[in-house]
Amino acid sequence: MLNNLMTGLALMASVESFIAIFIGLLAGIIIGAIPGLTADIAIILCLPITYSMEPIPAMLLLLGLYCGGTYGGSITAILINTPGTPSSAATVLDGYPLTQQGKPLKALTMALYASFFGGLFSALALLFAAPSIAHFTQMFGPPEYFCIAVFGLSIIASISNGNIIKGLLGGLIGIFIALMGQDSVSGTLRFTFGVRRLGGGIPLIVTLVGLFAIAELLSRADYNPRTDATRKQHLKLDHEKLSWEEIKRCLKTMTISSLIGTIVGAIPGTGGGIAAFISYDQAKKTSKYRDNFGHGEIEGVSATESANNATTGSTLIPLTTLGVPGDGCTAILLGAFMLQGMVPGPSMFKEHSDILYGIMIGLVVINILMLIIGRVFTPLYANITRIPYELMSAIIIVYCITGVYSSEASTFQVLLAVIIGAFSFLLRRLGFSVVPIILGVVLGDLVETNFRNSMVMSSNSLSIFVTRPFSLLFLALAALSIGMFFYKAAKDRKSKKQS
Amino acid sequence: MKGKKLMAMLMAGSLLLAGLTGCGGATAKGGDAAAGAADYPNGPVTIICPWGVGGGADVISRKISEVAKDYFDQPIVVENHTGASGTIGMMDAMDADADGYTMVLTNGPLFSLTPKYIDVSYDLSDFTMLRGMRQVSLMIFTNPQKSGMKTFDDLINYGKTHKITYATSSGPGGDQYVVSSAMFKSLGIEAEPVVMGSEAESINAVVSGQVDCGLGTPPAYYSHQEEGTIQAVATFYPETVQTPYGEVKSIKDWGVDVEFAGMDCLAVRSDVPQEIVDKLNAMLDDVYADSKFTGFMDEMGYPLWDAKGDEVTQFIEDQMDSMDKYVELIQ
Repeated sequence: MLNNLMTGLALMASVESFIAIFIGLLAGIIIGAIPGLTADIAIILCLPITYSMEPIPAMLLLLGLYCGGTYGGSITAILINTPGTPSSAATVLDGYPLTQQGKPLKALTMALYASFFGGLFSALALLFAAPSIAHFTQMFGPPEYFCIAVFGLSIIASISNGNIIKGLLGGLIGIFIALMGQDSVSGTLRFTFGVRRLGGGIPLIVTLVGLFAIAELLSRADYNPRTDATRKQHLKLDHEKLSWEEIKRCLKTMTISSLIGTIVGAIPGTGGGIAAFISYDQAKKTSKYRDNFGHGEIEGVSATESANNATTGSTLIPLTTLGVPGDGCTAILLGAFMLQGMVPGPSMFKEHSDILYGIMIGLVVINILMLIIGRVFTPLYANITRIPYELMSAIIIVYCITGVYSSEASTFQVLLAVIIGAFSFLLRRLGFSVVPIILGVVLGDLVETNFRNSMVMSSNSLSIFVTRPFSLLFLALAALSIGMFFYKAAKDRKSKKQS
Repeated sequence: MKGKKLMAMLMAGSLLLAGLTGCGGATAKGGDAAAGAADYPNGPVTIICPWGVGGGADVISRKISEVAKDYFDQPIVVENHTGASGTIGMMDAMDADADGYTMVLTNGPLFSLTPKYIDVSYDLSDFTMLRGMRQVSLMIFTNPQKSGMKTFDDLINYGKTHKITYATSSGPGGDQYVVSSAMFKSLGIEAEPVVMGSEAESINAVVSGQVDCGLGTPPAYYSHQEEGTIQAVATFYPETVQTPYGEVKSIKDWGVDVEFAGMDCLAVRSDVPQEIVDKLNAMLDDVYADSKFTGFMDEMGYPLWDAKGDEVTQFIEDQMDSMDKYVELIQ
């Protein structure tokens, strides 16, 4: 082990590697922060550059984009209520309220520290525990995936801002969006209304831009700078820094969230978004400040951002040990590995152990450098809130449209984003929260495919979900999550009556 | 004041970046159509890959685009237009101008099978095949450590008394599903597919013992076979296949009249001028003769299928006949 680490370190410690990491991180953070552009797109765009590079700098460039992109998504989630990437969708819940209270710097700094903490945790898990984590998650099959997704959906209860009916409806709308396109089991086209392009379903990023960015712009279309009272306020307040006390009280949340992120990331087919929601829910249930969640609680930001970055290392665990990508980004990294002449799978640790250790150590370095770069730039980001809104809205719309267009080089996707945006605007006006919708979108396909595959495995017996230990565990967690919601609702009603 | 200037510069820079990213995704349309074949190519050429980034065919086409830099005056860019079993990419290729600036990566089932399940606006006569890329043999594998099944006979015997669950990466309308259903049907075995998102996941489902057997292509499962958690027991390829772990017999040896050979190939619209087709073929000749490309294929364990256009078309026509038969059998 020590030998491997030393060889890996020697291979990794080159000027090229550091340049690759630096460029990857910087570009990743910027692209991640732009609504409509995600780490996936950044990696696809940079893939051709890596063809002629040495394996270690090439992979570190792409991993820099991946980690930077995952962190960067939080910046716009906090500042303009629009997550830059799907993994940061849960960060808007507490990040944006903090900005509204004039504390963007505090939220951004917390997001950076939490991202660093989660990323480092995950990178170390990859380095030291990859085989055992892979062995553990290999016990997960369709029934377990289904139950995890059900548990994920049960979180709707705690993020519906008190209106459970609208939350559930939102979740169903999300699942409906996820079901559009080709059915992955039978191959049938569903809800495409004869439109050929809908056969491919609606890409997650298009939904995200429509639901958040475009709807946000529409709902603030009546903005008048002359009557904006918060403008002067911002200048006074936005330098409230994150205190040591606050970091200390978030440490426990960050550790648990990083653990959740690492495990969820290692389960193929999931990803940062789900990890962030599960961690948020967990933090909300166990925190002393649970009543402040959703109203600008710093612990909420620390939970989501440590969890989504904690998937960056662990999604590489099934990839490097089993050859199965952990999420969409790592599916692209799989191709990048192959173009470098390495086939991800059980033999990778034997055949390319030097390079692999170099890359894994590089991932640790990436997270440390991310902290340094973030420290330098965070005060600058906080100033984004000073940009007059009439200018900001123009910039956002340009970014969103280009981002959505570039994902598939198609104007149809732009049109879709605008339609979803208008729809989301209407829902907001009707008092819906869009966060349950995005949760439904992220989990819809996972729930359906794995339910049907479980039914095939069990010859249509539902008992398969309770006879396997881990699926039972996740179902129990889901039941607990829903049970706690009703318990709390009953308690609230009682105390209201008394007062 | 300084802050305002900085902010203005940052904003200008970031808008520029957004613009550039937009261009990065879409390849600028090459050249003037009127200029035609004579000065072809005078702009980048796109390969539409109808499947996601990182898959086998995608990776090979990216390698082709990399090696082609030495032989082709213009860059070749791979774009992934995914969805609806690959038919979206195919139809995008049909929508593109017939100027030779758009190639498409395709395979047999996109002509022989998928159109039976999804409405498409193309058929084989709409495309000129340029060159085969790789031919793959679809294998049936078990996990001897979990199930104790080491041979195809073991699997058949098990199937006589049990319903078999098997992992495939395609549902109805996909090649793996159709040929495997036809095989189990002609063996008189009850079997049901667990449809996984990718071949890697199918392999993993067998390795972890979630299903009885699975379908996949070499070399994806080799490293698991080395560990003893996967055993290829038979192949849909019409002949015995040699692998580093010994030979794998065709299911025809068990009297099953089902065969399937997977392949990928490059094509252009059939109304692309012959002169341009010749230029693309000349480029592919050079790439296929380059050891950088053949060496990569060897290293990855992909069998190169250096078939010329007519041979590819004939191959697909033959496959169309047999697929008709299988679909009828399983209905």
